[in-house]
Amino acid sequence: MQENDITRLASDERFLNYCFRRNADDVLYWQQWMIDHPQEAPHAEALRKQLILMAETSRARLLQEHFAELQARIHPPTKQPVPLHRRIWYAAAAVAILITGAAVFLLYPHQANDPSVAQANIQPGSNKAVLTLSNGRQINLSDAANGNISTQHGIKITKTADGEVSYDASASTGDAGYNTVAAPAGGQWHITLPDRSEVWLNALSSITYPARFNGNSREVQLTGEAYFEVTPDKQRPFRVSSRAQTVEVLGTHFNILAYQDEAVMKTTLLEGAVKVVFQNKSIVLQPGQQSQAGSAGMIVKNDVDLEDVIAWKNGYFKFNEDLESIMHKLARWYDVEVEYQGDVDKGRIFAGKISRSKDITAALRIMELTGKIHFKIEGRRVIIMN
Amino acid sequence: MTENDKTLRGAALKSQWNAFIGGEREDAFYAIYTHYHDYFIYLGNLKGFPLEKTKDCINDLFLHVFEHRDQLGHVQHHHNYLVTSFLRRLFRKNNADENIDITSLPDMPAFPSVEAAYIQQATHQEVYKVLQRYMDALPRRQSKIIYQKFYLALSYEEIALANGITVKTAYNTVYNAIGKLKKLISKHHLGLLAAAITLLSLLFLFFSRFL
Repeated sequence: MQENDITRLASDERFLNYCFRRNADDVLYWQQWMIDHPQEAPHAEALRKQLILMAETSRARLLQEHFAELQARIHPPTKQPVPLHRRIWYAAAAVAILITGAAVFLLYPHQANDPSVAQANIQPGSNKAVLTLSNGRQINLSDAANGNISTQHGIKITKTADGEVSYDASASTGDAGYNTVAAPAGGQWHITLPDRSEVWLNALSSITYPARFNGNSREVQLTGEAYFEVTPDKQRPFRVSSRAQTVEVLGTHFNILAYQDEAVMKTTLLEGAVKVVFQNKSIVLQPGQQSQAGSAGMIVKNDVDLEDVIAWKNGYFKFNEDLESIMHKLARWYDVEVEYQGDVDKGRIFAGKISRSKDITAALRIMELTGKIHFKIEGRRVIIMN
Repeated sequence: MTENDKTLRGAALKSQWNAFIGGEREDAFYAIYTHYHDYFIYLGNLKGFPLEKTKDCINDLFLHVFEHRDQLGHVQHHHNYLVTSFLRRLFRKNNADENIDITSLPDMPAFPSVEAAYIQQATHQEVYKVLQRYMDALPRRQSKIIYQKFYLALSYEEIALANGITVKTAYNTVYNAIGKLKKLISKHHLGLLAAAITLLSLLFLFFSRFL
């Protein structure tokens, strides 16, 4: 039997019954087949393992998708102008509209050849974020003047500088509700929480936290990416939740990447100790380790390049990964859409370092210099070609 | 396996239920959701409902549970409560007059998810990463079809009907995904094969008692 014929087994219902142990007859039949065909048996067994893993992964992914939909209904996202192409996950109706919209757009690129449409000026990101208070009032942090922004329930919120906001809850008691800081695509912000923990929020990310930490834990919610430096407090563990993952810390420095449109959530520890809980599995990370949680479960990566992980917080990009991952990061910072034309290898690895304040073409040119890809920009769309 | 495995394990989630209702622990909420999600999808499929509708009923139910958790302290048997509420939602939307007898419900078949965990551990890390990357990158629609074919054991005709595609498209989706993944794994010269050979005897031993 050729390699091809082995794959054909996957369309044999009896073989599938054997793989997934659906009935005794087919299991016995194929067990005997394995004994009678010693040369093909290892290939068939390898196929069986592959099918089981595929079934399991698709199951886990479906669960994750459905749970994410539920979460979006429980905690509806804060109102911020989100480009149509990024509105994924939120509700069945929205998904239907998105799919139709995208299809129409790709079929009829009506403005591509219109010379009167000026090429959109693609600026790098900057300090931009919106603060939502517990009473629902929204404050545009970039527009706000330095100084006191709000005093609610005795909690003083101050814009200390461009890109920074700080909480002082020393004069308050009792429950003060939740606040959210959300950075749009092309935005970022640095927040000092009521317990003096610091959070650097990346583009297209949001963090929700109590305006005053009560009780015996400090619980915040994150979508997107943020770097944390948490004040040690043994009495009150600090917990960050993202989708089905919770990261629990006592006091430490770590980075969490949990974007809605990225399948895998990554938590990297720089200093201290954290426990990552995902789907009933928990792992305690050591400095230099990174957990990766996705539909196939959670694994730990050792000896991660920490400079790569927090380069964004220090104002630059440091890439050493596949093209698709790089383009995701650029899309969020420059607020552009990415399209691939032709047979582009999205898995090709590129390495490089470039300041986040440079124009997008600078980053794209670094990759173009390798001769492996070419790009062109149409409006707010970046097109990658061979 | 003759005992009602799901019921046993469902009852064992009592501490999670209490942790969520009483203590608002969201990871407990997730544990309960995870457990019942698979079973309810299976039930919905068995009763002939499309995947989307079943999902909506599951999420409606759990949204209700989440939003009314302070009023659910009286529930003694969370398993019965959840299953009955789910079925009521499922059939109510259809206006069908179905008799909901919870004791007549089938058990969940023993899908080899335990074995999947074994394979996961034994398989070379690189292989597993390739699989994870590939399966996560698959368009949602294709991943759903693979789930329907392998996990729900639907025929290609049923899948075609459920997804509004032709039987040929359904077949090609599954076949191509398998072939592509196989090529990806062997392209990196990775040894699913090697792992298979060493594990062959172990697996036969493990599963012989399931027959």
